[in-house]
Amino acid sequence: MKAEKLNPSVKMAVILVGAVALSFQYYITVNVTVFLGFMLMLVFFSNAKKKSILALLLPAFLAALGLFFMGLYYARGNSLSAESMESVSNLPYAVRAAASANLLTALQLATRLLAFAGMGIFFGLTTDGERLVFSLMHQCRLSPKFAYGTLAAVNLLPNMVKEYGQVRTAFEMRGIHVGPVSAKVIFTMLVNSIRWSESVAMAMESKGFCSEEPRTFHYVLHVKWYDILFAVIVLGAIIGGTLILTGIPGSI
Amino acid sequence: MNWKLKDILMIAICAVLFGVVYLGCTNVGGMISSVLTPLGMGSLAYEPFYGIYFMAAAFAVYVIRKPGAGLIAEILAAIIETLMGNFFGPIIILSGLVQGLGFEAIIALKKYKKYDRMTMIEGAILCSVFTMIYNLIVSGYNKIAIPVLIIMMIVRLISAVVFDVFVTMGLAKGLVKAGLLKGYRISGVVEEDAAE
Repeated sequence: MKAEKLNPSVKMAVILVGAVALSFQYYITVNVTVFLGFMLMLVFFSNAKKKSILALLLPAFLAALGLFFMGLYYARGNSLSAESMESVSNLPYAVRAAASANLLTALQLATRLLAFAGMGIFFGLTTDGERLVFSLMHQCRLSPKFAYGTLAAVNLLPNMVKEYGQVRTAFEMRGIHVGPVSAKVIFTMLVNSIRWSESVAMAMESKGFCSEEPRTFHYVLHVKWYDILFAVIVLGAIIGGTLILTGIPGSI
Repeated sequence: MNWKLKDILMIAICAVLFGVVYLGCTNVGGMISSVLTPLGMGSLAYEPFYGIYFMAAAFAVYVIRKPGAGLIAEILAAIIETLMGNFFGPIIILSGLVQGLGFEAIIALKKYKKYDRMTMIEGAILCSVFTMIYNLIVSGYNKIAIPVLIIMMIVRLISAVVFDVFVTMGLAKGLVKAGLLKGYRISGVVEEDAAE
């Protein structure tokens, strides 16, 4: 059983509902469990490469660290400045108590972000784009016009990156210095994008793509028993865990 | 709704473009963030780029001028960003929905008739406010001290107004002048807006 076989729409719905459920609780235990659970699924039940997991985890950890320090210094109610944190042991008890309250907030925020990242990375590395769009068409009634339009646009991405390099080189050759997000470059690329959209639409329609007529599908994705099982386990763990911890006073 | 394949492709391809620009910016944001992190302001580093994040909605609303343009553009952009790969995955779709609602709400209030600079400014402001409410709930910003949130909000507002009003309108008008947006509602009315 591999995570790649899960129905993409179900996977997406579980993650969206899970994210909303996580947003209304502050238990570090729940957040860490979600993060570790998804990472374990990724390592043991998917074909994701370790290297690509790390490549996505790194920015997630950086963002979590940023949120951690923001919570540590600027939590609402008992904020501490950076200077007063330097010699913690010399500080009076009240200040250290405030710091520990802040530490709790900081951990709550940072672990929640990691829980989101765990789910997001799991989805990203186990979901094929085409399968996602096909599944959105069959399970979520996305119209084929939007589905194939999205796919066509995404598949233009490599051309877009190449184009970006060419446009910048063209400006440099004429002695015009352009920054990485110069409006001149964006404008030139927008011009090309609109021309592409016209030619791609024309190409699709001339090859018989018609969005109004009923059509047949080569790939049809279905919801299977293991999709339901996945949804029950993940959402059960998040919602059940939150409810259990609410019943135990003093749990974090 | 009367959406042509060409319109969908235009929005989707522009969403890919804005997505690429935004991804480039978040890398810069990540670098600034690691410098600001020891000061506790790491999350502030991403705020100057929020305007680029909202650009798909602003551009679609301004060019297409049809009910639903902002919402559909942002959901498309969010699906595309999910496909392009980032660590938030499909959770982006939640924030995309919120952003799209920001612009859509203002344009709907004006009955899809007014598209002047003031409307776009109001859209950018509402979009910033909506996303901040989203951050308060989903990112847990309700636990952060209010003065810090105010600083973040101000940076986000400035970024939204610069990118989604001045840059977006400038780009769209440039495209009209280049004769590229002939099939869209914007091309007939851009001169009227310029006169205001």
